[in-house]
Amino acid sequence: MNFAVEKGCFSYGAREILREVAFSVGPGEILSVLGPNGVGKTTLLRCMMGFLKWKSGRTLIDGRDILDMKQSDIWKKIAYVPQSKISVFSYTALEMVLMGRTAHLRVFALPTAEDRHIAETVMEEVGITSLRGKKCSQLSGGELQMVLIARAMTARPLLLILDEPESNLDFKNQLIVLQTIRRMSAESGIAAIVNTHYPAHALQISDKSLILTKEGVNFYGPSKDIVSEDNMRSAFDVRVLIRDVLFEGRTHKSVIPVSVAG
Amino acid sequence: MPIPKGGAGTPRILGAVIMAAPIVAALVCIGIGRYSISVRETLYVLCSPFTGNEIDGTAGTVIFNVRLPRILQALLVGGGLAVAGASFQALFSNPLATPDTLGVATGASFGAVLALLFHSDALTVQFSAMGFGFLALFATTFISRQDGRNSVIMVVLAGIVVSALFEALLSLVQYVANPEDTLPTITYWLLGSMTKASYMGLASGLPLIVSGTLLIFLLRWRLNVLSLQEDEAKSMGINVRNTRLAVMTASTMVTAASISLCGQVGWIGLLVPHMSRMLYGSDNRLVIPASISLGGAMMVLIDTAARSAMAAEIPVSILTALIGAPFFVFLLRKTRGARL
Repeated sequence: MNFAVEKGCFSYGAREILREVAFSVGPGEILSVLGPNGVGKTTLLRCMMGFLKWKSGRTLIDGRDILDMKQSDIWKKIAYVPQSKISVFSYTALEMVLMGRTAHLRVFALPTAEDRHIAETVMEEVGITSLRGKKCSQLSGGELQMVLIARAMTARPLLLILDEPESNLDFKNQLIVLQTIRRMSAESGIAAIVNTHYPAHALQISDKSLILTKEGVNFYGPSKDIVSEDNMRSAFDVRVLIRDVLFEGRTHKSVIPVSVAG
Repeated sequence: MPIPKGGAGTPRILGAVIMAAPIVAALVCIGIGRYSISVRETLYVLCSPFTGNEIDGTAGTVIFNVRLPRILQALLVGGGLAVAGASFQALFSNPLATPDTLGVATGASFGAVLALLFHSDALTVQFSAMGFGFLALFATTFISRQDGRNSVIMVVLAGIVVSALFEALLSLVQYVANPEDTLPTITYWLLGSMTKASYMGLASGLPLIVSGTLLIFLLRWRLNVLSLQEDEAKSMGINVRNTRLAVMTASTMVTAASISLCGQVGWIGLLVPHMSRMLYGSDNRLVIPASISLGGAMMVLIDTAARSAMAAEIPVSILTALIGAPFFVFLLRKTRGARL
């Protein structure tokens, strides 16, 4: 499946947020969306999924405008992983994951034994079988994020859209989330679009990157070219150093913020 | 919250007990009263139209003409108000959303009283109640909506405001009502009572309550999805706007029809869904049927107490509040703030 945004523009009233955003994601590709706070990363996600209406421009799935598609057809192909928040709900993890099957169910239908089997399989793949009967309100931030990823995967989508999936998580949980996204892409050919605050994560997992700036200039291309010292400086007003660190025969990219650029 | 643990058989037994509760309550309560009838005799009399058995005249009259319509109405109203409460709670992702707190009940009461003021028939009373119930619900939804979301606190506050408004209008109707004629009817009706239960009344209320309840029952999986944040719910591939509207319509229909039958009976919509969640957790696949069942059973028990605890009948709304308020405090303490 190919997912693309063409010339996406959006503004709240007179305030322009997004200007001519364009990108495309093919099977198994991972795209990172970077940018300073308040630049409109979440707005971009909401626009591209149709929660907000583009002022101009469009979202295409395999060349078809999503506005011409049925909601249930769209959500069999793409799945959304929101930022995890502790809420009033105490659905169990399994119930929560099972909700991911809804796009495949008719209006009055209940999930079948097969849907339940899919949910359990995904939970196993993601490594959260042990959370099964636990209430979501009692999970840690990292656990809840994995539950939400599993819920999205349960729809058996071709593209995952994740809003800052590794924010508010500790190092270990960040690694688990990133590795999971990468594994999905490598093993099942599932594409991903990831909003992130961490340039190092973009370099680590994504093929392509999109950097949004306050000036309305967007940098888009292969991550290794786009996440550069120059682009980071103009987008974030921060001087950064990007260095290779060799460890056990593998090169890791390290992004070091040095100072606020004047 | 305690969740029943145990073998695979435990939930099934619990389910069977809950499903049987309204039937057992009805059979036992039919026999309770000044003329007391044993369960065995009750069963014998109730089956007589099918078996053609000879029955004792007094027992037959008491059961068929006096108590059966009342018990049926209690079952209907109790189940209906409970399921309306459960669905409002899921809809607003708000453990405190009920027909009462959202202002729907007060709006519907005003509609009903307004119709009573003009000596309208039962059907007009119902539709007037429904119309104003909707108006109240939309007002609360509209007032509390900010940035496309209804926050828990805003819904509660907006509900208080809307309730207060319709409360004032209710007082106005009472003020202008004829003290010789319509005022006593209105006042007594407002207290909430099942005394006027009749097969005619049931026939007029039944279609709305049953169809509304059935719609909510059928949509119970989607209720789970609706209780998520709006973007999340949309991303599950459902039409959020239409589904919300369907659930709102169904719940208001049930509330308005129940209120038209027996006045404003509070607390059931708050208490029963929370009891169901204590037993089953949040999943509406189980919470909805459990609420219908427990709501019916509870209403039958409370109404039976209302008519037979003292020599004179106590209005049922007074009893639901007397029992409901302390029980809800107990629930709140136990669950440390009601969770969905």
